[in-house]
Amino acid sequence: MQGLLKLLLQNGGIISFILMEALCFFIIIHFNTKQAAVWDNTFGILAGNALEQRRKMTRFTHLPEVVDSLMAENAALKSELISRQMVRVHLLDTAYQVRYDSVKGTIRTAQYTVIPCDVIGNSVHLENNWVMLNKGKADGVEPHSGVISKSGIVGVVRHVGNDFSLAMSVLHQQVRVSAILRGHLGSLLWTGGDPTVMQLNDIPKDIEPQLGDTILTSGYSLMFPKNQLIGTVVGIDLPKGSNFYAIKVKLSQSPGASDQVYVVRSLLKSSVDSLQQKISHE
Amino acid sequence: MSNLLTANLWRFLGILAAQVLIFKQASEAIGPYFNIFLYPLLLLLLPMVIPTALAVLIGFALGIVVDFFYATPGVHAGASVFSAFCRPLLLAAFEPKGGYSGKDPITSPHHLGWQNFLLIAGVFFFLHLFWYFAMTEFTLVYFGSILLRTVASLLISVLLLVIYMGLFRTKT
Repeated sequence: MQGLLKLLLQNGGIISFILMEALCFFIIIHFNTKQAAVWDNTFGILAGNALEQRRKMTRFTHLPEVVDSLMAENAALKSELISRQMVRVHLLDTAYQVRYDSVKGTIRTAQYTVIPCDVIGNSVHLENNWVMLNKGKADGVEPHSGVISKSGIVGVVRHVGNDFSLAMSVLHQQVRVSAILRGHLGSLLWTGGDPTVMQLNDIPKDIEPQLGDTILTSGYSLMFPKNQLIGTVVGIDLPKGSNFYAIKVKLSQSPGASDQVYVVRSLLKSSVDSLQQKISHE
Repeated sequence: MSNLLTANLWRFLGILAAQVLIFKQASEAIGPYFNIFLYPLLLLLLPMVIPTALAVLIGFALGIVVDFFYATPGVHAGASVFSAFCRPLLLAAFEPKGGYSGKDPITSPHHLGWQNFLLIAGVFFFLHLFWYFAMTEFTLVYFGSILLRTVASLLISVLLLVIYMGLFRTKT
């Protein structure tokens, strides 16, 4: 106590200066309209800046969660969209196509579930390329599920671990994707070389494909949902003596550039497979 | 001691009356840049030996009274508190070799000589006026304008100060 008193006496000047100056500030701000306006403005700018900085920082630290939640939302929307495309009812004549809105009216249950994944390993320059994903059995990934990105197809899941899975890239010699060009079914495969170009076979020569035509997934194999964009026609070749075109397709999703992808798992695959097993023995 | 008190008291009343009755109107007449302030002299002429805390309190009281007449609550008080706080630092900075001489010395030409007195008074008034105009604008955005008004007011105030000190030859 004595020490404190001594301190006060020794530094009485500066302490009283600070106290009185603070009192003067208070009086100035409270009883002068002009200074009060200046103070409010300055304080507002300072406080606003501080809050803005804080918001930026917290937003930055929350980016991973934001990305995850957006991916999950995208997956949910995508699975709704895919299911919606599946319920297209043909009535008697092909001229009448009625689209059922599967989102509103629950005509059928969902066809596919969509699982958002990150690509953690990828290659494009090998003969057979693979894509590694950061989701596995624990997240519902199953073999033979398709892998798509927001702008095209990426591959087919082959091996599934508990937390990771390996997918054959579309740049794998064994991958065959059933694709549709102008209503005709063809088979898409990669013949090596340019990693953004695949070859579409089995398109009969009686149709006339044009450069720039869109290639979509057929949905027949249940690996990929129907009507997903694959790419566009960039080259048309009709080998001599063949009845089928060999068409060059530029992929809409460059296989090396996909970071965030979706594993698409068909919910009807087991029932379709059990049906197909019956015919394989006949 | 009572002599010193009465001297200061009369000076307070006289200069304060002159400030708020004459110089205020005169300043308003000659435009926004030249403000005549003689009242900081009251703080400068306080005895050198009084504690800083007391000087600061006296400064606050003086400033508030001036503010009362100028209708600017707190502005003159803030400036007076600031200059009262700076006064001992200033006196220490300009202290002659061997210290200040005389019994109960005050900051007047009688004790310091005109040259030293004008130096100290010049810096003292500059600090006071600068703080006053800064408090008036309440932002350093108009720093140029604040400085200009400070220098202009300093010139005219010091002129008046010299006249006053020449006339009254204050010793206590």
